[in-house]
Amino acid sequence: MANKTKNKEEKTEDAKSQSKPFKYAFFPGCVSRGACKELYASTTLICKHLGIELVELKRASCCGAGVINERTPILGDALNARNFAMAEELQLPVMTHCSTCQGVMSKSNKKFKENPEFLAQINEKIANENIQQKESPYQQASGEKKNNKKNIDENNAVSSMQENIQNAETIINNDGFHGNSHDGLKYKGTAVVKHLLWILIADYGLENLQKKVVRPLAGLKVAPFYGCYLLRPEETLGFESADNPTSLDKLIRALGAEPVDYEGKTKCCGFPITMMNRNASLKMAGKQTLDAKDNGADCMVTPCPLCHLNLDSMQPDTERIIEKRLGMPILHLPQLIGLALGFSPEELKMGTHIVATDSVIAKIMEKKVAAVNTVQ
Amino acid sequence: MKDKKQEEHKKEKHKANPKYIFSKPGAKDAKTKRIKFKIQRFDAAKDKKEDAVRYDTFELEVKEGTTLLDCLDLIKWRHDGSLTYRRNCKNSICGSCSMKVNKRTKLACETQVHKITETFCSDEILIEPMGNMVPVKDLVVDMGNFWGALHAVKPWIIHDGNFPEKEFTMKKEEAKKLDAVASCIMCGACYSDCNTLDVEKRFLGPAALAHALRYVDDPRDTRKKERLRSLNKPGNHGVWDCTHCFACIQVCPMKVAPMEQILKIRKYAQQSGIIYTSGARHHKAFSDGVKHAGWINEVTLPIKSVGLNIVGFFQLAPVGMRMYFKGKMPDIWHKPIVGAEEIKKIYLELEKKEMSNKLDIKEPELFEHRNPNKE
Repeated sequence: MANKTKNKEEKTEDAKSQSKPFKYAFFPGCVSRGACKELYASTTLICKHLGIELVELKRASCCGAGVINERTPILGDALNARNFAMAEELQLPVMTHCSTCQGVMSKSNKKFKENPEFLAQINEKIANENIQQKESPYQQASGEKKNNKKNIDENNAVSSMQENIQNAETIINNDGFHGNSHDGLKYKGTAVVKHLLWILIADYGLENLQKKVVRPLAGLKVAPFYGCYLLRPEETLGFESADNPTSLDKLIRALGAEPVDYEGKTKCCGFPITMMNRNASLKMAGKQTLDAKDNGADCMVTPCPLCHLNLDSMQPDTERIIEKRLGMPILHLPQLIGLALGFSPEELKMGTHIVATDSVIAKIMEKKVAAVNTVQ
Repeated sequence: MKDKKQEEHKKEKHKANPKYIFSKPGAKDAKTKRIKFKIQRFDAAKDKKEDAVRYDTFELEVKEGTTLLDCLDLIKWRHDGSLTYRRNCKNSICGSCSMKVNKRTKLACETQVHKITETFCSDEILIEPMGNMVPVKDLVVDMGNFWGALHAVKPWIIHDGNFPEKEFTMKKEEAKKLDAVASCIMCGACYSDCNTLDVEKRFLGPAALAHALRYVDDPRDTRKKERLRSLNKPGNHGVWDCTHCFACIQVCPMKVAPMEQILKIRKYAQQSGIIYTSGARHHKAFSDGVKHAGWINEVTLPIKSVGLNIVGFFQLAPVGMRMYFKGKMPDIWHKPIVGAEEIKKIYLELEKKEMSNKLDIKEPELFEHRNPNKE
């Protein structure tokens, strides 16, 4: 009897979560707005298509990317506390599409959740309104913008969210905040940070994603490149086993493609030491790419734009260092999904990659043509 | 004659039925599972390199809770006495039995076989010697480079000047700082799985650098600055070669978190004014970009990191050109985000104080090391 009621409860809960619209506070991070704009474009595109509503945290700062968090760890945590507080105010979980952002933010968040005293001290710092501030050159410009935003938002404040849900064009809400300064921000320690990959697997469900696939990537051999920040250490991330991760493999399979198993899939791309030891950095990238290639991969897919920079943008240099031709197309995670959802390579901005993605596109299109022919 | 016959009979019996039901005392009703152990064998005496390495497979019926070392012992004692591996305490304190289990370095004595099969969803386990070290025989490796790196960081206290009349005294917090690294058992797991060592053999490695921090942190040592300078020198392949992959944190059986210790050395170095390295320049440029605009400036960041280095600049230029022509170049005008002034406020409040170590907030430790004395 007790079991039955339990099951019922579970079922109702499931139903609730299914009926709940997928809505997240979107933390785009720096790289997707700078050197990997194609990632931003493809993430927003597929989320719109899948009905995942994103409210972009436009006031959010850089997460620190492990650099600020290393030079000045407390400052790094303070920046993240400020970002979390914004998401908390929206009452939305944070969505990242960068492994590095995810890793760094998960780490900061764990510190806050386990050490309320530390959080209180940080809150004091980020909420301090009495700081004497020197005139900033940006203050005027951003101040003007603030006023403009305020006017717009005052008019639309109430209806803006609902409108955005209905209006597919603006499904990405520009700002969760209405232009107010957030000197009094306080993080209560309840924010949840999730990567796009985790959201698709744990929240959205691969079965649901599969239903939306119109161009199955059959015959395409995709090497999943998990990298570091999304897996290790398990204590702070904990979505899956760091020894044997399966999330990307499952996703690739759901899209109709075939995942390639290779040792380098959980190794480092070398990006963090690209400025410190260029040779080692490129050798690392080369080793993992070559491993994927030797195992028959047509392309690699990465959930991290920093891995993408080292694997794609640096690939010509890597080839010179390891003295081997690679020619391995590297896809961002949402680009691969976008292809399966039927978006064109142009919409996914695949032309901006340094290594041409033509071979991947040809393979997918070829299959489609073949399928059409057999139908006829 | 009879003995010979008996021996032959025994051998044949084993050949025909190599599976052996192994029961662990005290675990009578435990689940059993048939597991294949694919073990890398290495014989340096073989002339050809191809002949030196081979893989042998042993199949055992294993009860739940049995460790990998128990299984290896069984294989050695009952099936193949020539299988060679290091073992000693069976209590994860001697650090002898580290080996690669499905490509991840683990202590055989604390790794439960059933758990491995569950994690990897396979009843076959691949056992290999540690990586980044030269194999000697089967699973035994030459750890010379590991010890060499450790020796290079001078893991002993150097005290110049006068010694105290009686003993050195140390505050409790000061002693606590040394605890994490002191629990290192030198098993070499971090060295074996290090991603940088995979491509850069001159890197000192996680264990040695973690030990280096232990002596930087020791109040009895008087050469803190000298140690930091040496660890930061690019030619020494010290802290700045670490690629932030978290592999050492993940594999360390004692939860020493070597990478965290390496990052502390980088922080101390920057705090004490060792800022001539490309790493420190990169960190400062990165941080300054966020300070002024709320997000990183990807155009100036690489240029500032390279500094006054013509070779570095010429290596950078083609990357920039390539990205520019593909439309991948970040905007030259680094537009500040909305609310950048709030971020600057936080910077002004915290950055200087933290850099000069005058902040009244203590960063909590995220990774709690295992304390062998308490277990």
